[in-house]
Amino acid sequence: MDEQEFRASLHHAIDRSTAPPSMSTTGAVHAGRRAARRRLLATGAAGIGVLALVTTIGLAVATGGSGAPQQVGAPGVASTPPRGDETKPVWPTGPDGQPQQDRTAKAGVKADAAKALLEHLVTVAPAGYTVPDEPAIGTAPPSRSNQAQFEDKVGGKDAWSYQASAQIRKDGATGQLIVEVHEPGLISGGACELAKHFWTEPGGCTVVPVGGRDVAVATAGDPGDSRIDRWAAYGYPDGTVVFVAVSRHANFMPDSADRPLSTPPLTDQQLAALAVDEAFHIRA
Amino acid sequence: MTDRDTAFAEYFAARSDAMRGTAFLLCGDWHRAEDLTQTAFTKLYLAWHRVARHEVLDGYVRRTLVRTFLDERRLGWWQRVRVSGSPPEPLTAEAGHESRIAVLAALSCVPPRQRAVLILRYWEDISVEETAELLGCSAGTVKSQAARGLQALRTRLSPTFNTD
Repeated sequence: MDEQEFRASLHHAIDRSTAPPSMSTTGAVHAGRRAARRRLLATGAAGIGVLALVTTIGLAVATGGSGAPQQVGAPGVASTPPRGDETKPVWPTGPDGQPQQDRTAKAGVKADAAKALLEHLVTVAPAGYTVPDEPAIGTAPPSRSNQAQFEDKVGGKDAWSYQASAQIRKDGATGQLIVEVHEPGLISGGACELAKHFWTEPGGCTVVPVGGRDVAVATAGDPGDSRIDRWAAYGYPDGTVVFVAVSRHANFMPDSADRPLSTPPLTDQQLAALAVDEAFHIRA
Repeated sequence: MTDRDTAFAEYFAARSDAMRGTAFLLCGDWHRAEDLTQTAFTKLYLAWHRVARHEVLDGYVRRTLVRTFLDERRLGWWQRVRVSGSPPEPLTAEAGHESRIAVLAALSCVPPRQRAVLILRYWEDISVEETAELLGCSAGTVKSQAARGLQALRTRLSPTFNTD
């Protein structure tokens, strides 16, 4: 067998083989987005104190399997060493007129919007729960946090997402409440389709009507990822998408030293109602 | 959809079948080939903003695909995906289905790095130098691995090999 015969044999093998249907483009995009979100959390750019919790889960993804840890807050994480034919991302201009150092807004309108998100989140904690306000201690993240982060360009314009997170406590047990808002154009689809864009794969999803609006409430379906228990997703007509999620674990860490909540802090209906709370509707 | 999503989706729709074919020739299993392809494209998604020129997208995905395949082989996954559990018997039946199986089975018996060289050189038609860069070895190594790989296939498939 020479080179030409081998080439022909390979084409012959492929041509005669019954290939499965083409892979789903939508599925590939979803997989990419989930990986990007895990990387974001793992690199600490989320800034909401979840670095420790996702280190184990997200490191393999964040490092592209190389095992090399990424610098916290590092701009432009690459899954392979930079090459001459690749370029670094350009981050949005900050309020000081200079390009940001990473995708997180440290000040300005975007950062203020994230702070407002947290301020409202602590007011909607379920009845009977307290919302501690404790700073970071050692490697333990603060009990409350917020951030605004540049996600991507949409139609040539910057599109951002916002997160706020707060611990909730009851009877010595600690869980977590989080709200995440995505500006128009970043995520689209029907109610349960939107729910697939959150941190983990949903195991189930139901549509809960709230005042004539359809809100998806999803439960976690990945047995290897127990950070989040359930979450609600709602897409506003203007394209803004709001997620509200609960975790029974402090800082979403299943191995947290804090005792986890024994029961879900919010019902599906309560979660759904929070997702359509206008105070969480950030307008770009 | 973000600009990245849109561009990525277009590229995926255009190139995922071809990349999956390469993966299939490397691992001999369509399901595993899909996993390899998905892994490679997910890494591309993450690196999308860094892979600025579209002319390098193919190279990036191909490199990731092959390296993922080699890494998994090194970790032992290959033992579960061999095309056949034992080296193929020389075929005497008519060409067609049997010859396809024979080529894939013979390929599965070639050491993984040699197989990667063969697929990159003769299926992907990339140069000796590019293959060497992708695999992190010298051009001379690529040439010798290709020659040995072809010789191994000749031994496995001779004298009944037929591409009809």
